[in-house]
Amino acid sequence: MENFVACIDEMVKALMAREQALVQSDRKDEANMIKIQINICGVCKTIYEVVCRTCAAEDVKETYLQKLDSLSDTWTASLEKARAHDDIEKIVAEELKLEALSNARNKFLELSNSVVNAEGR
Amino acid sequence: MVEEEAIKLFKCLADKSRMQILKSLMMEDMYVERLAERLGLTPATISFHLKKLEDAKAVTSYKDQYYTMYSLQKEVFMTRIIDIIREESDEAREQQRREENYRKKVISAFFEYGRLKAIPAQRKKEKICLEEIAGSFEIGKEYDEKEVNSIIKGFFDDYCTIRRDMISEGIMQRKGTVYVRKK
Repeated sequence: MENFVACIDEMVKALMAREQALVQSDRKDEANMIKIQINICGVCKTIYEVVCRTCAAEDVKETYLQKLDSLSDTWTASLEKARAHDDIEKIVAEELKLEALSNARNKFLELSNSVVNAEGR
Repeated sequence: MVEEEAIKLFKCLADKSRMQILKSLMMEDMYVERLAERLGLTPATISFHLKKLEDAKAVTSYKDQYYTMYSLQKEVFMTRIIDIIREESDEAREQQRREENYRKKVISAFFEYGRLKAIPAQRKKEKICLEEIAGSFEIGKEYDEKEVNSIIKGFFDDYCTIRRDMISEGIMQRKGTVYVRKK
């Protein structure tokens, strides 16, 4: 699934272009929000590479999704806590993290399903 | 507005999205979703910016039925920047204290028993020495050249240079044949 790593790299590239555009238009805080998403893409990529190195090929999908879901649970709990305290900055940060994680997860599922379908044919 | 508040406000205003929010609120009070729609940003991003604007006292909020409405704190924007600069701050007092210490150091290095040892080469230090000598002249009182020379001679033999430099530094003023110490 080298495709997945390439897709994450593409996502990072697109986000970096957005970040630059925001900086150029004097929207530094929004550019920093994009930075958060760039970091999350990096996290998703690193976890995937570690899972690929340490797990048997047939276990990669399940293990990787488990790890992403575990992160999602942690950040969702953190988001709820921020909402309870009306901590706007934290709410925005946690929402952005979850959005980036969800995008990476969906892309991973899309690619792994297409591999399964191709093998099935 | 104190200096700290002014810095917070200026930092807050240095953002295009927040300026757009303020421009919208100039027209009328609005709630988060309406601002998000107008500016093409997510409600979360708008809330984020509004929080910063509220912290900087640029906007204020109030409840109106189901909505939290935001309005511009117009009086904050009526403040003149020159008044903010004029406001004395802790930093200004600290600067004053440092300048006073430096002054004392220069005077103790160049004066001995009330007489100037040598004219400092550095202009800033010379000015301090000249001001110290000028302390012997009454502000606003007119002195003829002889009186001026005599007073300066009590500090330094080369009274001509000192007198001339006091004029060029704007410490003393020459009005025809008389000299006056400036405020």
